[in-house]
Amino acid sequence: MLSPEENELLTRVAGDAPMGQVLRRYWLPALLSDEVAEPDGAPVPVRLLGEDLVAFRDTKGRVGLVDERCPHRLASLLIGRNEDCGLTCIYHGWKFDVTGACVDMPTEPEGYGFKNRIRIAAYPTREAGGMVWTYMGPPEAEPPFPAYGWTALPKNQRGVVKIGIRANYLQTVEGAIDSAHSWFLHRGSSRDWQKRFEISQDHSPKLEAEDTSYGFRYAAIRKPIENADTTKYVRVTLFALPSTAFIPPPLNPDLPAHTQIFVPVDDDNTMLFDVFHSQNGTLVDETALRRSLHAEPGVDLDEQWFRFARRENRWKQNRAAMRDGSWTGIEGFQNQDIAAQESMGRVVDRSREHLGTSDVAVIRMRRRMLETARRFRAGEPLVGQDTPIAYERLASEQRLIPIGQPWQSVGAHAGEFAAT
Amino acid sequence: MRADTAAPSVAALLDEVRPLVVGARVRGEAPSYLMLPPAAYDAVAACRVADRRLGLPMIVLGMEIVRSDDPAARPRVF
Repeated sequence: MLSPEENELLTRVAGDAPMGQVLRRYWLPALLSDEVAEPDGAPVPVRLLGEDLVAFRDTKGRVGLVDERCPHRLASLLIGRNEDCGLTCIYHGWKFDVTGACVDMPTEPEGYGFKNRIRIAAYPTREAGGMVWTYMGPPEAEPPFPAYGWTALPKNQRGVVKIGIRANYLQTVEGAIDSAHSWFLHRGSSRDWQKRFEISQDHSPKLEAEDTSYGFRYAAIRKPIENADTTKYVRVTLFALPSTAFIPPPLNPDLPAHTQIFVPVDDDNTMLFDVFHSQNGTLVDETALRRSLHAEPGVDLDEQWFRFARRENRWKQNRAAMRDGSWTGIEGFQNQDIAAQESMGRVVDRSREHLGTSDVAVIRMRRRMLETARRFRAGEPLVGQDTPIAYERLASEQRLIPIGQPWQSVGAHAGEFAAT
Repeated sequence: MRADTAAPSVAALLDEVRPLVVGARVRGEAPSYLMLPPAAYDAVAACRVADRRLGLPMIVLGMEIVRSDDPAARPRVF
């Protein structure tokens, strides 16, 4: 539950909205590196925080992320020529490099310096983990890059599933950190689910949250089926601001762990970058992964990465499959999440909801985000930016521990990331 | 209530009240009501316009809220 004013503050990201300004002060994935695989290849449309941009890889392999509109007559650079280290508007030949500098203006007389006084918005980029990341805030406030451990893995040990969601980013983030839903929405869908079910069938876990320097983490603590008097089953999920969730990795170490990053496209849409990364060196086949998750471009997803399944076709829910044992009638657990999140409406009115005590992570996340907005307005360092963070050491985890052992010992970094 | 003023934050209220509810249950109690100081009560009431219009009780974390007359009162469940 939020007041209408708090809901508005947390959800609006486009234009000058305060939360949009907050999000601009963190590094965000903008697109997949493979979308701009070739130097001088076709430019790609990118919409971030309500801003229409174009990504392109120039002749030297640098990735540019610039305003889609040529500042001359506002024609789209998406149909521009990408060659000789710059993007040229096909309308009148104005050309821009990856820094946004105008490097050619053939329609104007030379010697007057017009092109030296023209720039387009251009944001710095960095490639890591198969994605092109960008920072859209003021240069003087640029934070360190969040070099999560999986960004250093070789390409064949990680895969990224990119999916557009027709809903505001906040409700997609809430879905990722809402531990209780997996027992219902994803019943029978996850390869790890059965193994978890073999350890515990406790549907009402004890839930606790703890603030950390990067955001917060929370634990779902369940009674195990065996040795319940001496052990407890703990799943610890991490949330790093502004919108990254570290899901506890599967108990089978041959299955990849996954980290979900939710990037606001605008107020009403979100891009999910679901990163699957090897736990033990086992190879990750990205193409097979997308197929198994029903998230294949051209098959399940349109040209803008949004699912063909949507409200108008009831998310392709299969009622016959539901009668035959499927809980949702929807294949692929990301698709189940997305159907639930989109079904709430583009921007859900949280003043109407009735949270329960099991919604601890949702409650804590909103409070941390509001705290970040407050710090932004007060000119203070944002959450995750007031102390150095060893991003490569962030890890979620699930395991059985002795009943008297604190859950904070799970996650491989006890005490290392205390909140300030 | 505005999120950028000193008015009570509903988001923070839920985060603070939740341990009260959980703690009571751990102690074997079965609380049904949540007493709030006037400002917090009013902040919740401003959210629950539709429920009030329908004559429904105002519920927070499964507890029906009750208004305390004491502005300095701490939230409590019973």
